[in-house]
Amino acid sequence: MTEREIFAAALHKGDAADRALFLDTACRGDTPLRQRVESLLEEHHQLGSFMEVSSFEVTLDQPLNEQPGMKIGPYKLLQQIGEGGFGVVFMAEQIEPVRRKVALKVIKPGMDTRQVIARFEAERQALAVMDHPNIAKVLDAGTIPLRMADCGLRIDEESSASNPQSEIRNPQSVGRPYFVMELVRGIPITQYCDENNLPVRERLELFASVCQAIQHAHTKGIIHRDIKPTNVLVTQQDGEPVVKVIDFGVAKAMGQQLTEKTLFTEFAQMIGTPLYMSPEQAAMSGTDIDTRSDIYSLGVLLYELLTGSTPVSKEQFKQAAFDEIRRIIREQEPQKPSTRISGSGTLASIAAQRLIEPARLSKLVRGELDWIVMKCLEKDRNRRYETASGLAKDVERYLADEPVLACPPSILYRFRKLARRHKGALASVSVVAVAALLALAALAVSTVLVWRANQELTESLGRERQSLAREREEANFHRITLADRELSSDNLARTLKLLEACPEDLRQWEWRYLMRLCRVEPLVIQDNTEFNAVAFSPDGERLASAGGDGMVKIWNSKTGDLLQTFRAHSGSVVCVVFHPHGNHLATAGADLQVKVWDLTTGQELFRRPCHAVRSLGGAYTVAFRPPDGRLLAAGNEGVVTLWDWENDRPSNPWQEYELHALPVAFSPDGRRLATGGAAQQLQRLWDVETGELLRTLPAHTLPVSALAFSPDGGRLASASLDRSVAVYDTTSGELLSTFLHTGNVLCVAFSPSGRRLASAGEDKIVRVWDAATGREVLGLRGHAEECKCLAFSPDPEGWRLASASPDGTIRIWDASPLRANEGQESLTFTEHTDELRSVAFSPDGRKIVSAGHGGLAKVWDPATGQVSLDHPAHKIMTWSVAWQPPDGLRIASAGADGPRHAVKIWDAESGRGIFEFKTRDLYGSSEPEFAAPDAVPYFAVAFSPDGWRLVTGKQNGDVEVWNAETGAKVHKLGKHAKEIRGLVFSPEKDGRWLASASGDGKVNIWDAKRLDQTQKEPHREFQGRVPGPCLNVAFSPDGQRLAAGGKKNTIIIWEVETGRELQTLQGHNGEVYTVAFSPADDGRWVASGGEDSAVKIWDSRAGTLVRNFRGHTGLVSSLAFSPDGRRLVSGSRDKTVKVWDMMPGSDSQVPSSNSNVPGDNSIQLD
Amino acid sequence: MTDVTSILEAAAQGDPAAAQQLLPLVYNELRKLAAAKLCHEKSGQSLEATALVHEAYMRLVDVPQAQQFSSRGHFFAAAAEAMRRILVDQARRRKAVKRGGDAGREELHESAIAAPRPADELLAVDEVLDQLAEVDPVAASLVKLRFFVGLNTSETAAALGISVRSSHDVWAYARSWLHQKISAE
Repeated sequence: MTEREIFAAALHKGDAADRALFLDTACRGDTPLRQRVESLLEEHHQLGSFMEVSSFEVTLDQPLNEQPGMKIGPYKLLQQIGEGGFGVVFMAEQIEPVRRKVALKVIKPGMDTRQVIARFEAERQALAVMDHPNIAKVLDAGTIPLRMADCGLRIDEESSASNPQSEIRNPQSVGRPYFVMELVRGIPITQYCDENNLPVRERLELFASVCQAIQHAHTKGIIHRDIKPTNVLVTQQDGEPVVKVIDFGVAKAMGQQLTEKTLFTEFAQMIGTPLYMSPEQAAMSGTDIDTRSDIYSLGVLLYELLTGSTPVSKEQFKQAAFDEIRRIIREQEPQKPSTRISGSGTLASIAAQRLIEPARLSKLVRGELDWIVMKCLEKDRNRRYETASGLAKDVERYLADEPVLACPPSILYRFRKLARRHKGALASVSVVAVAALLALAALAVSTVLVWRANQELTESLGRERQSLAREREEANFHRITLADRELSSDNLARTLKLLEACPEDLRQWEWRYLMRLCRVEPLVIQDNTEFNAVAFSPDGERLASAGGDGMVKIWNSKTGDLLQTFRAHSGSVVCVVFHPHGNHLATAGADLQVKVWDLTTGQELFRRPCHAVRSLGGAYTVAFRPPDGRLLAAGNEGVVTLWDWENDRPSNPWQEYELHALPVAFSPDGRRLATGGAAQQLQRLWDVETGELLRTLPAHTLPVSALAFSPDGGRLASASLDRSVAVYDTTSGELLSTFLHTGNVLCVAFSPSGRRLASAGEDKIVRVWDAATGREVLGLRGHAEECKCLAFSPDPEGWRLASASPDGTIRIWDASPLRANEGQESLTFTEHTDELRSVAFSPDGRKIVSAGHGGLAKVWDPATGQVSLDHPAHKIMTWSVAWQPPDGLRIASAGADGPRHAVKIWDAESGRGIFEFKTRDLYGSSEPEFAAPDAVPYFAVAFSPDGWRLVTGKQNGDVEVWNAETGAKVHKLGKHAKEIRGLVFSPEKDGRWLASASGDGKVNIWDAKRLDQTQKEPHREFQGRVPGPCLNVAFSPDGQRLAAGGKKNTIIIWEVETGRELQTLQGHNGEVYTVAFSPADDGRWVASGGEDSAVKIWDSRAGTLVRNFRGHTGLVSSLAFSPDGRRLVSGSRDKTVKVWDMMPGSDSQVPSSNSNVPGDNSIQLD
Repeated sequence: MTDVTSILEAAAQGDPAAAQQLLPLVYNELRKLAAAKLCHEKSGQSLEATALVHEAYMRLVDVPQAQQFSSRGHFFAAAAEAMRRILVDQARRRKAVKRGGDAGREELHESAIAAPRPADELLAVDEVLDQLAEVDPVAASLVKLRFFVGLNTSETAAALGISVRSSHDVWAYARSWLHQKISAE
């Protein structure tokens, strides 16, 4: 026995005699041992409360204030120079990389530091390009790490950067943000003006330079959002006042999405005052802020510079409730500045500060200055100045005594202005001149003067028109810049709004480009036959298709409406080309004929035998010669034939050049003809007139399938079955670039601008390349089979790209290049502060419940992000949540409460607990004393479709069934060898199956009709792969198919009844953690997410990737479709939940559906 | 996340190096977690060491995958040692503040810490705990779990893989042993 065992045994002896006896035997004569034990026993009686308080606590009090002398990052605080609602501003010394003095603003606690910093980072690049003498640069932002001293704990910095896996462990999320700015030793502009008794003119000059600074920022896409005197400082440089606008980017970083009233209030407290806030900012719509909000704030500033008070006065603000102030800003028309001045009780001092007599001040401001200010303060921002420079110019016009734009123009006003400017010359005759002009009276005055006045008036009006036009363009440019930036921060709705606000006549490439980024789905034309070829009419309005059923069809290229149908060949049509005039078509068919058609009459005009289609398809074997289309070339089998078809005779009897069907292409000027070669065969360029061989081009290793000239004729692209596209210089014959596919390339096309090249083939992906750089700018996925023919729309840039495939579709893509984001979410829910584990839609689709780490469950509206319930469902972790069908009144959750796990059923509206079961049944004891975190093993919950039964999954692999009303346990349904990670019922009306997924990747299918019986063996067993504690199995809506994550980052789709594997979906770059079937379109669409942060949408039948939703920055752990399939929601470790709109609005020129094709079901997704 | 899980599995299979790797991970996690928690709490809130350790476990370990008992024991052992270091640090700071070693910030710190026991006891136990570990490693482990983390008798029993009765006895022994050592010094 050890010392301890002897001690323990002795302790249990009832009396001293027993103990002594026991020790005699136990110690066996070992006296020192016996002495030690006895003294320990003695000690035991004197312990008192020694070590009895068993748990320590750590507490936190207010953090210390930053103090001079402290070091924050590379900055050393020198002295405090300001304090506001925001926080404290210090003068600080930067030590590295340059030694300089800066201003450092420490934000007071209460903000989500990580978000502030993230928003700043998003803005940083834009801020960096701002360079203006009147703007103080924001140099840096960072986080002051929480000093553990404040918590009684100490943290050493070097260890804090470890473990990048989890953001909660990231020190960025702890601590307080700070901003570093150029140090400005100035005072607020209003204070400067008043202290120095600046007259109105000088105030206006200063103000104009403020506008110029703001204008500079606006052209860089930066909105200040918080213009007020304390952010517009004036310093003296060489005796001259110089304006410095500070805090750019700070307001945006501090919080742009202030949707909640409380937040707004807090925000207002933080920034000090809403007095300078525009109505749209006060409306708290959150995101809907643009440059014109700054114009409003500038207006308030100007108001104050002129009148000494803000439109909503500070006194008013102090008295009124917050909401009242907001209402006033939004609804009440402010007094005109001149009215405010004359009504002011302190008029004398206000006037004195402006070195003017009280009566004259009011008069001075009345009129133009009133107009300028009031135009800034319009509630409807469309009526404000479009730009800050527009405002500045108007102020400058006032100063130069020119007519201002702010007022409704009237001849009288303009003339008065003009007259004033010519005061010297006109002197006493000006009045007469007015009279002359108005009454056309023939007074004896100098007609020359009147004429001159008239001419100047015309000129001045012309100048105004010019400046108005310029301003309009500038405003448009701003919108585009802003839209671009909104899009890069994933704010799709806002981007579209800005784009829609752009005047139509100013919409150019960049507009289309951004529009393209917002919409990704093609217009799909579907038919019940394969499509072999497609061609745009020369005007781009129509599209001709070559069908496998021998039919040629003409479609409206913008709507997808079918316009015309005729039978062209007895076999399939393989090639269709438009005549340059647009009224004829040439086709080639499997009946080995080439034909020319009159589209107006539908009559066949020309027909010749042509063996063009024996091999390689042949969408590129026929061509009209530009520009008149009189010659028709066909790459016959072994023969290239040219016909002067209008006169019905061969023009050049070329023969025996090749042994295979050949693609042909005319150069755009019609002088040269290119013909493709077979394997190892050279490609050739011919002079069309003489029939002379001009040049040969290097051969592909396999036959050439398609040829295309660049619009200038300088380059020739050849697509080949060797999986590449080669581009040659047609003059030198040099190989310029090569583009690679993963399958045989069957088609190629240059955009009309020649800047882009599209190619496609057996890998089903239509790729658009930058022809100059060789960069792939677009990968358009959607075809279920190979793509045989491509055509750019003939507009100068080739905005649209049509692709034809034997899958029975022609897809008309918006082909302007796309950047990283292929999909866009409609909402990002950022209320969670921790990683997400589970999301679920309510049965009516109106609510989402989301939960994960931290255990907090949130119930919210997927349309608005509005939280209706914040429920601490579990204390540490919520693994799984489920809504109770059919009414969705209750939610079940499985999670961990401290050391214990529990399943809880709670009210979806109030969060009120209805019942819960903890570890009781597991340990068999009524209230187990101990339950370590993983000893309690509920990981999954699911309701049966009728809502009567609740099924739970445990760590030990048990699947258990409960009465969902009472919480009474029904029994154990079945068992897995490993822990249960997910449970899901098949969703069809009389749901037949229950699937349980286990940690070893086994997915068992149970009979959901016999939930009340123990099922010894599952109905079926699938082997998938379940890498995480997530639900990565899903049933198709009819319950006949099952999707689950498979090995090597795949998703496998099985037929439940037979166990047959139907599809393997490949495309993720990491483990698949979650899958979901869309209830729409008979279960065609499957969504998946996982380690690679991407959410992918698949066509489960075709096995193709349809869409890629990017935006999450962490593992996607959970997915759920709304019951109508219109929305997809994804939860991620990046702590956000995103709602993806599966069917965004379709009013663009690339509409998402066409209605005239029966049986069309391919386009419901977009 | 899988890091800790795989280390735990290695530890469960008897890899002695695994436990070594575990401590710094758990230590960092606990400190960061405490910091994160405390910053989200309002002033005056407190955190229980027990809750902290449980939460660290949930965060670090892929719970469904981790083998139930053996691996958890290793985690808790590491967590207990980590918590010991954290609390000892805290207590030392507090003493230093009391002695005026960190003047200027004294008042603020005094109010910042409201540990429910004298720092002296904690520091005293810490000083002699390593000696106990030499004599009786199980007893020392139990002290860490119980004294620093706050697990109760049955929880410590489960974590150490001993009976509840043994847990009780070991605790009694350890207390007496430590008390004696401290009194003697």
